[in-house]
Amino acid sequence: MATQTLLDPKILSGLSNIELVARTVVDGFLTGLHRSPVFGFSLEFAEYRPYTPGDDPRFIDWNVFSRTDRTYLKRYLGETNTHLMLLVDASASMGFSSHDVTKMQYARFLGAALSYLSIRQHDAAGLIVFDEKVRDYRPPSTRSGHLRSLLHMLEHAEPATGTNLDLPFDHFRQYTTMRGLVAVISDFYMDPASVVKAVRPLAYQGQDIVFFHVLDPAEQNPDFDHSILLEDMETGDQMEISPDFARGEYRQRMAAHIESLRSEANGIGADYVLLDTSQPLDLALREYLLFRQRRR
Amino acid sequence: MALLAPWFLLGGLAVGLPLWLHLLDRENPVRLPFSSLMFFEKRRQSSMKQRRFRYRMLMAARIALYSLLALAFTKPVWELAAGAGVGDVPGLHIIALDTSLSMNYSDRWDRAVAGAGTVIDDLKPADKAQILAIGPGVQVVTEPIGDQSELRAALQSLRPTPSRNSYGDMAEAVRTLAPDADVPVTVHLFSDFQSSAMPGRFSDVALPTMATLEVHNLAEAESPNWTIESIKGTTRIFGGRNALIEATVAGFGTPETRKTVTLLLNGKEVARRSVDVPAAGRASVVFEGFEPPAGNNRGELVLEPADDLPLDDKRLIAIRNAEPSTILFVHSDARRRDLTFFSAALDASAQAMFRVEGVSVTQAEQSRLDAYSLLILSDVPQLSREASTRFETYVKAGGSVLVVLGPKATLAGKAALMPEGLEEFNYTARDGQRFQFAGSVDESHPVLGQLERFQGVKFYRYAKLPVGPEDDVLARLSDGSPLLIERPMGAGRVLILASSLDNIWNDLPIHPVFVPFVLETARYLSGLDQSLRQLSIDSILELAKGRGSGVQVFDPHGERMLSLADSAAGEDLRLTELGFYELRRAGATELAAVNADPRESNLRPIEADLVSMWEATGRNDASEPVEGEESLLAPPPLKLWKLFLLLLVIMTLVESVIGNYHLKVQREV
Repeated sequence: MATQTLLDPKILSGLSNIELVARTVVDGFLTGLHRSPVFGFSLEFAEYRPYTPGDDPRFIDWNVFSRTDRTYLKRYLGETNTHLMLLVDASASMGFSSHDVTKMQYARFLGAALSYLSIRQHDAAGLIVFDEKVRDYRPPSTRSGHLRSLLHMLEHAEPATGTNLDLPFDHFRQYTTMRGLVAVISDFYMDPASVVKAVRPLAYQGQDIVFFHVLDPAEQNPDFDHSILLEDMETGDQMEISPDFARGEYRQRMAAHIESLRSEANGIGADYVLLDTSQPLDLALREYLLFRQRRR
Repeated sequence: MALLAPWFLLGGLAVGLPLWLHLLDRENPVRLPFSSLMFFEKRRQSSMKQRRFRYRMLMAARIALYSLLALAFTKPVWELAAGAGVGDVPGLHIIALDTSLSMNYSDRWDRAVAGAGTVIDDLKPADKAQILAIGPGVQVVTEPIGDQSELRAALQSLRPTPSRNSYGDMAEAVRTLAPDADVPVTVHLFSDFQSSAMPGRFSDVALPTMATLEVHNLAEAESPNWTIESIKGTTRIFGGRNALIEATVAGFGTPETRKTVTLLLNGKEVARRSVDVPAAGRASVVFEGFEPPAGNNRGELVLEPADDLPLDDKRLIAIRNAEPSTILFVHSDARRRDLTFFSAALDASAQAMFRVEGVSVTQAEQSRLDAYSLLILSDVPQLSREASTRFETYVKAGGSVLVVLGPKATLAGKAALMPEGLEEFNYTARDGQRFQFAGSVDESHPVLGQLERFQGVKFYRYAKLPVGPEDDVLARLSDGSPLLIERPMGAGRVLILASSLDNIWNDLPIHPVFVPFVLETARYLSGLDQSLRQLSIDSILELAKGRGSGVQVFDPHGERMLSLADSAAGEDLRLTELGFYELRRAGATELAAVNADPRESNLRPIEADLVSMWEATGRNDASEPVEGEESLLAPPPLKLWKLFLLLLVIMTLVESVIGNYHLKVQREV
């Protein structure tokens, strides 16, 4: 099976175990990277540093110890210790889908893959599942079993009500003082200014933030043959939409919204990644790694 | 509220049609959950709501449209409270004033104006009044107005006329005006209720149900009146003969009395006669042995002493004393007796209004035709070209010719002034029938009216007359051949007789009908029409029938009545004043005396029972209700169908506007 095929969300949606999904995605992705000269990320040697109490003795370079009788830890490029905090939007709008994969499923896959990748690199990973409030929270950790805990949370994150970024970010700010990576996976159906307003305190705190903007293809390019009555999945409001408006002015407004989000994110030093639920996950992982590399 | 035709409410079922169509056409879009509607502008949603609202408005407008249509057809009325009474609702007061001649009697007119003024003073602020003048016909003096000063001014402008009136005309006018008022109508009739003004059928004076007749009877208890009822006698005198006039004096409701009748000619007293008039009877007075001056004379017969109605105490008569008219009789053979018979017949007339001048064809060709009132061409086959032209010019200028056919014309196969020639002649004496009688005869024609259809006259020979498209065949023989034809030629006319005037081709000259035939023919062709001399008021003067064109008429005051264009057109004139009218044509002036209608002189009023019956035709007075008819007390119900129709029109416009907007929105969104 080709690696690219393994990363296809449609294929992944057929896998029942989210851990398997994460492994499949990350392993397949990394396999691809080994053949790729672009990113140069591997288990490359970066430096030695003296052992200090508390370090995991499994990473002591015993060859150096035998030659020098000193304990050094061998460090690799992708192994600088950091922690990743995933904020996954589980609002009702994330349940939308125009094909086999909902935005929520895509967010689960992405969250699982990022968690797996992070912990595989010995980074601490945490997770906040939110909608209008914080529904679930796991602080970053590298302990064994933590990944399974995260994957369990993701697996049980179902789209529920509305979206409110203020609460998860406040929550995160209250319980986290360490600098790290913050990945927000959401469809961002909110005012870009309000998103930035919610995120800006984290940026001031020194967190590195990346927005994974998950959108269904039908949300970006809706195409109706006739008038259609749309029902807002979060508010329940209904509105009759003509095909002309959906094909014309809506697309312009959506493009403007995306551009505004990108601009606002860049304004606070955050990264912005637009993800299409019909596209494979490698783009998201590649962006993540680039983002992590820049942070180092 | 009452529905006079409730069956039309079934039409209301039609409101289901737009309802069904709207439900059928109702948009039912596919409902789809969507992530967020934040990019769908509120304005669009608002327009959708507005569209849906307009959609429902459109449906409501269509339902209302059908409902109003059905309601309008039910003729709904709004019953006003019976206790309100007529006086509480606006009303229309039709003030009808009798302006006939009889209203000049005594102080009737002053009392009529005063009474009408009182009605105007009593008008309520919401009331309207309309003034009608009855006689002649009905004149609408004002529209329904509430301005009392304007009504009084219109009232003061009215004067009694010398004409007749008819209550039938008044009732017809009320029947026309009252339904348009849509309010209770009260007809205030100020009149002397003269019996002669009642039409023959009582139904002609019936008022509509929404009108009340209020009688203001101005007739006195006794109103004796004398009048010169009629005049008979010679109004045309020829050759200096003496005139004879017989006048009839009539008294209506009068005691026996002695009256004096004075004859004036051109303002000068000619004779005076006393006459004993019996009580409510008639007496005759004769004036004879006087010779009016030459020309037109204005005669007056004046009854003295005058009574309370002086207008009918004088009667006018136009008398013309003229030289006899000359007839040029052109004959082809002096040995024939046609001239003899013709002249003898004219001389038999007591009036001797014609003089015949017999000439040969050669003499006629050199005669001055203007001097003759009539030409007769008796068996003249042809004229010289110059003479023929002169004869034609004479006729086309308004002259008249009698063309008589005979042996010479038929042998030549042509006749003067008959360019088409003659077809043939028929000699029935050689046939089995031996002779022909007159067949169809147009007895309405002035020439043939007194001839008793040529009874007993035998026609042995006659020419077969060709009949042109403009010819009028006045008489035919028993075989259908034309006997007498009238042919227009320019402004004049030509009569063509298919047989001769002697007793060779027929025995007409030896029959008594020959005299009136000759006399009436001469009178008709020469234009001496006696009927014009004495006319009644409001007669129509038919100017188009006069000889020639360019008639000018002068009224009794000597004023011209016709403009130049009217004069050339020959429009008919109504003679509305008493007096002498003067008609001036080229070369002739005629006088017509216009007198009052003698029926106006009989002031006998209508019986009281008849007046009561007349009042009962309309709506009864509110103070005297009729049992079981409470509605008579109440104002008439308001008819709502006009309102519904107005609303229907408005609703149609609304439906159009909404429908247009609705379709427009559908196209854009």
